Parts: sequence; C-alpha cells; structure tokens
Amino acid sequence: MADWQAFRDELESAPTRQPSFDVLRRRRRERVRRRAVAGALAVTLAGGATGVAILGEDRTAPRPLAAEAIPELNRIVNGKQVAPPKDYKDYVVTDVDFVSPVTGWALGLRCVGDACDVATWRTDDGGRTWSEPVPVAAGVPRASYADEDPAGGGVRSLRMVDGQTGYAFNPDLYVTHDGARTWRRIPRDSKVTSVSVSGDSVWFTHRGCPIAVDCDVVVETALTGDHVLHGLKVPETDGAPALVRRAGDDDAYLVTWDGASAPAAFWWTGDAGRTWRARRMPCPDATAVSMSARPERLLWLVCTTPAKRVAFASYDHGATWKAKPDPPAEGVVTDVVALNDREAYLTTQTPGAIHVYDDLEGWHKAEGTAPAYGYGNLDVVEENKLFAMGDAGELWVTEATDWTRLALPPGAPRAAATPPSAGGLGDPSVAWTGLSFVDARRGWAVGERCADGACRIELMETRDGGRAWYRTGAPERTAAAGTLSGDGEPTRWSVTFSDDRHGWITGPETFVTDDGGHRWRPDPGARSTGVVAHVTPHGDDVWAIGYRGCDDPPCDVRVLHGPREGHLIPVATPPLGEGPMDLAVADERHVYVLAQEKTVSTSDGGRTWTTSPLPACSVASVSAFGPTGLWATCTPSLAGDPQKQAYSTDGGRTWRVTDLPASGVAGHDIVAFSPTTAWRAGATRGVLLTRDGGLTWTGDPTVADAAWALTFVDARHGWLIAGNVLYRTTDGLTWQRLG
Amino acid sequence: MGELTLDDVYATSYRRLVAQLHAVTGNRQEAEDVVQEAFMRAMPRWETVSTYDSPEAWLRTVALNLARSRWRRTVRGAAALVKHGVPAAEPELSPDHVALMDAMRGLPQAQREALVLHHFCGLSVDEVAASVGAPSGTIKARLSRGRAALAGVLADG
Repeated sequence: MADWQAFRDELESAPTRQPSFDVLRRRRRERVRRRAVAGALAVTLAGGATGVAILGEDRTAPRPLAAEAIPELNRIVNGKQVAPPKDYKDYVVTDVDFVSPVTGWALGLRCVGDACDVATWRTDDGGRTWSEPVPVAAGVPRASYADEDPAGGGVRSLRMVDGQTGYAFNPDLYVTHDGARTWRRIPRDSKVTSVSVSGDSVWFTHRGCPIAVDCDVVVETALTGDHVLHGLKVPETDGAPALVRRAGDDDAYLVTWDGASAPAAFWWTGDAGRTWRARRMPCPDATAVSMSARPERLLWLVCTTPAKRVAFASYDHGATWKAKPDPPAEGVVTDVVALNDREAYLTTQTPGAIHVYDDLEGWHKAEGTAPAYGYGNLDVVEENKLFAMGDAGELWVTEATDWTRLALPPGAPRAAATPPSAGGLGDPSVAWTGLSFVDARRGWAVGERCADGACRIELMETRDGGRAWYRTGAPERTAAAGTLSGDGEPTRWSVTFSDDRHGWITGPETFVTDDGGHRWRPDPGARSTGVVAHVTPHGDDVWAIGYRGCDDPPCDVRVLHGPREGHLIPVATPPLGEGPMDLAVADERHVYVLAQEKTVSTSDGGRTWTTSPLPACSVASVSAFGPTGLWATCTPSLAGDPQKQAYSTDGGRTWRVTDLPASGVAGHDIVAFSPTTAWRAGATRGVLLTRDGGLTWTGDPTVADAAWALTFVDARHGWLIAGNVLYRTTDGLTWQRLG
Repeated sequence: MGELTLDDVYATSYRRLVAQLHAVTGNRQEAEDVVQEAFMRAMPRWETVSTYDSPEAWLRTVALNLARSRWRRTVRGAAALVKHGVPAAEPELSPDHVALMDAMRGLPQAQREALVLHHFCGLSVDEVAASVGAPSGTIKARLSRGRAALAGVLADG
C-alpha cells in the first residue's frame, strides 16, 4: 500500500530533466523575439479601446456616397470611410480613442486641394471639453485608403496605448511618447490599416500592395512603443477582405470572406500568431463579417449573408458556435462589441444606428440616439461606459441605457484648463495630500485647491505609475479655505482604493466610489461610522477607524470593517479611547490598532480582540511585517527630545523603543517590509530607508522636502509626495522625481 | 530586500515542483514542461513575484494552470495520444506508487489537484481553496471523494 510521504519522496528523487537556468533564459529571450515578430492581429488596447483591422476594403459593402450627392456627407469621415473630396477648411474628426472613461484623444483632418493637415485633441472629462489641436502632420496627401500613397504622410486613425504612447496611422504611421503632444513619423512603404497593442507587443497590419491587386495581408510586430518592426506569417487570404481581432497576448482571430468566389474562413492563434488553426466558420456564405473579441474568450461574429444577418458566439476560440438572435438587417455593420453573452452593441451606417442586444429585449435601437448616416468606432473603456462616434462631429456615450451626444472638435467646447503635464501631478495650485495605488501603474492622488476664499477637492488618476495624471471625478464639496476640517486645521484629504473600482476619500467627510473614481457620493454609512480615517484594504477586506461625535467630545471611536466593495461597519472591540493613532493590517487575521492608551489587536479576523500596552513613546504611524511584526514611528513629546522608533515581534505584547540615530527625521508614515527593512517619510527631510532593523537610516538626496503619503504596492514600487511633487521608486532603493 | 533570485528558486524548488506536478499530471515530461514554463513566465514578473511570501507557491499555481490548460488540449487531442502513445519514458516507480499514480489518473483533474496540494504539498484546506480559487467546502468534498477513490491503494486512504 502506498502512502503520501513515500510517494512524494520517490517522485522528488526520480530522474528529472533540469536544463540550466541560462537555457531557460535563452528560451525566454527567443520567445520574446518571436512574439515581437509574431504579434497578434488586432486588438486589445489598454483601456479597452476597440480595434478593427479591415485588411482591404469590403468590396461587397455599399460604397460611401459622393459628398456632392448628399451635402451633409461633407462632414462624414469616420475611420472606415474615404475622406470627402471637397475642400474642408475646418477639421473633421476621423477617429477617437479613450484610455480611460475620462481621458481620450481625437484625430482629425482638414484638407484643401490635395493637401491635408492632421491634428489631435485631448479630453480629460470624458469628451465634454477638448484641448487645442496639436499638429501631427501638415500638408500631407488626403488620407484615402484606396488611393493614398503611404509615403505621403497622411493618417486618419488613432490608437493610444496608454497616457503616453500611441500611434496615428492609416495609411502612414506616427508614434507619440508624450501623450500626443509631439509625434514622430515611422517611415513605411505600405499602408498600415490597424494597430493593436496587448501586453508588451504591438501589431501593425497592412497590405503590401495597392487595393486593386489581390495580395495577402501583412502583419508586422514590435515591442510596444518601439518602431523596429518584424514580419509575421499569417494564413493566406488570397486578397480577400479580412478582419483580425486580438483577444489578449496570445489569442487572435482572422476571418476572411470573398462573397461568392470562396467560402468565408476563420482561423485562431493561441500562441501569439506563431501558428494558426483553421476553425469552422459558422457562416461560410457571409458577404461581410464583423467580429468582437475580448480577452475572456468571448467571441462574437456578426455575418451578413445573402439571406439575412446572423450572429454567433463562441467561448472556445471558435471550436463550437452558438447562434444568437438575428441582428437587424438594415444598414452596413461598422462595428460590434459584445460585453458578455447577454449584452452586445452593433453600429451601422446607411442608415446609421446603434443597436443594443440584451437577453431580455433582444436587439433594439439604443435609446436617445438620433438617425444618422452612420455610427461606428465603438470604444469600451469600462464595463458600463461605451463611446461611439457619430458621423457629424459627434461623440455618443452611454453609461447605462441612455445615450448622450457630445460634440467633437473643432466645434466642441474648449477645455478650460490645460491638461496635466506629462510629468507628475502638474497643477501647482493644488495642495496634494493623499495617494493610493492598486498596482504599479494605476493610482489616484487627492488634494485641495483653494482660491478666492473657497476650497474644493481635486482628484487625479494615473494609469502609468504616475508619469501622466488625468483629472477625474471628485466629490462636489466646496467651503471657505481652512474651514473644511471644521477645526481650523489645514485640511488633509486621503484617498484609498481597495481595487480599481472601489475607493474612499476621507477627511472631514467621507466619500465613496464604486466606478474607479468617476462618481463619488457621501458615505451612506456615515451616521454609524462618523468620520472615517486610516482606511486600509487587505485582500478582500477593508479596515478603518471611525470617529463619531467628535464635535461634542468625548468621541466614540470604533474599528470599522467591511468587504472591499461594501460598506464599512463598526465592529465590537475593547474601548479605544478618543484617539487611535494608526491601524496596521498584517493579513486577513491579524489587525492592530494603536489606540490612545493601548494596543488593540485581533488574530482571528476581528471575531475577538485583545489589548496590550502601547510602546513608551507617542506613536505617529505603525506598519506590520508578517503576522506579529510591528514597526512604529514616534513623535517627540517635547521639542528637542530625541526621535524614537518602536518595534515589536510578538504582535504588540512587548515593544522595544530606541532612539533614532539621526535627528530631525520625525516620521509621518512608515512602511515596513521585514524585520530589517522599512521606509519612513520624514517630517523635515525626505524619505529614509533602513535595511538593518533601524540601526541606521539612509536618506535619499533626491527627496529633500518633508514627505508624506508614503505608499507601496510591493517592496519595489512606491510613491510619496514631498514639496507638493510626486516621487516614485521602482527598485525599492532609489527615488525619482516625476515632474 | 530583493536578495532572492529566480536562479536560486530554480535551483532549490525545481525538483520539488516537478514532483508535485508529476503527481497531478501523471506524466513526468509534462510536469517538467509546465514547471519550466512557469519559471519562464516568472522572469519578466520576478520583481513582483519575489516580494510574495512564497514565490514557489506562485510558480506552482502557474504550473497547475498550465497543466490544466494542456490537459484540456490533450482531451481534444486524445485520439492522437491513443494513436501515438505517451511520447516520453516515465521514471520507474515502485509498484505501490505505480498503482497510486494509475488510480490518480482515473480521478477528475480537480480532485487530483486537491489531493496533491493537501497531502503532497502539505497545504491546509483553506490554502488549497485559495490556491485553486474554490470554496473550502468544495475542497473538502474533493478530498473526501478523492480519498475514497484511492482507498484501495493508499495506506492512509
């Protein structure tokens, strides 16, 4: 009879192939190189932007009508149409791309004779106002796909990877690395029709020959932001119209159709384009195909056949297909996006409409939209926020069921303020006081702007680790300067996000969001929690301290607890006194509250609590390392007293208090990673690191001002504010000033 | 901070991980492949993974995910497997362990994973639940059913 121990011993001692680690490294490098060469077609843009690669004109679809025939078409130039032949001296937007629900860019042309100027605009308020135009190229030929010489420099499509990097293309190619403030041309000798980014690779799809000649599509790939392109072999498409969608780093789909001359065909790659497998095409008689592919394996095809329009969904990369209710037959499909099995959007032109599918009502027209020549460019930036470009300089947006029409440049309202710079928080008129990051890239900063005797909360968001910041929604609260805190003290707002949707802004009042910070509402639990502070997420839990009734002391101070997406509610603990100083969450079971006269802690996730002494110093901040390791900073009782630090390895039952070796470095915040390693934000001098358990603290000369809002997402990625400037570390050792 | 390198983990954990994945997959070569793949996937993420309490646990989870993914493909390619047979030689095991491995192969993938993580890797039920993303009750049921199925070949089954 076998037993597990002997089984394990025998398997562990069995002969094993173990190539040297260098072999694995080489294998990995080779794969990266191949993937850069391979790429995957079409699209999973950061921010969820859609991306359709029309690899050749859909010759079965109706041609756009001549502008002369229908006067209003003079303004019709969307991403898939030929620019109208007439002169148009005002810019016409041809593509829009958002990287967040509030931040996006538009690209447009103005043409006189054969020469066009290309420009981009930026919005930081979800398309309500737009910046001044930024030139991409001037005096370039018209950007007609069919007739354009790609060497001429014209472009009419836009894909932004993030707040910094993006591409203008179709047919030529430009790249920006500074949020579309400057553009650099990447010389090409063929027409780039699609740019798609996923992970660290970008794929460029184009045809290497004039549209009238039957030739296969070409895909080139590069590392994101780079312009060294490598070719990728894709299935032969025999010059047929083709559409490619990318659904993650490895998965992509290619569909071709050629009307009556050949059945439509479908391929899938699951290895970033190295190999392609033919799969059954559910609508081989298609004369036009649109496709929605999202990373969660959800794949939709909308096929127009001679008989009718049909839709199919697949969850297994096209191995099996499930018929969906037939979409409306009228119009030419310009784009389709399926959010899940029960919800999809489809746009058409001639006539233009946005159709919505849900499993209750089936297909129906989007509420609130107007008849138009065409809609297209569906752009999902969040599960509940979707943009569609209209055909007359319009941008349509929905966050639930109703659609709202916004204006695009040049007729759109002009942004009132210059967007934040590409380096740091930018706006010096705001006193930044709080930071929160949910990973190495996405974070928020909160501050307060005071002018003319009134103050208001400002909130910015970054999606690139703090290099670029965009204004996002902030709680509507204004008050006379200095009065927000209620006691005449300078207001200090904090922001904490438990994930990319759920967050708190705390200070004199508490506001909560469940949509990533775009909309805030007063904390509905404020009556029971009071003023909330020290919000500390950990895993699926959030812990905080609530101060109730402090306007009429004594305060009723409670520990608050809740799920990361839910309300915080008071939990039963021993009395905390009036002023807990900080809260540290070690793991899902161990939580420590350094209260006014004692340490209150739990080791069972809050079911039971025990008390132990405080360290013999005035604690300013505490941080946990491991279940029972605590590290605290203390403020001196009297000016001139030595600085102290306190340290416990038994969950606060006993404390060791030592003098800090350097004077003048009282700390606001401490973040401990191990018994030996911790960072402190110094009240008078920057940020300090110890790697010897606090025996010595070393300052980083880059950060010279008093620092606060010290926050880390791991041992290497951290941020702080000093002198109203943001600093970041990406190696856990050195700090870099951002802006 | 940051002294632990992926090379170190590769040197110390590779054999153990291969053994664990071998127990799950029933195939030594498959186990080696997915463990090597897990290490390659850790390379660009090591800056983050190295800060985890147990980088080895992360590697094991990735390897299990890979094994699961391969298993699904293998199911689809089962005909080819029958036709061509298992491609690589398996290490010789004692008769008891051959019987256990054979019995394990007859279990559903989820039960195999639960058994190996709990009995072979020494994870608690809650840790297994966290590792595979299933409720603890589900893990207990899988363990119970798995042990029952292996009762004939396990001394402690």
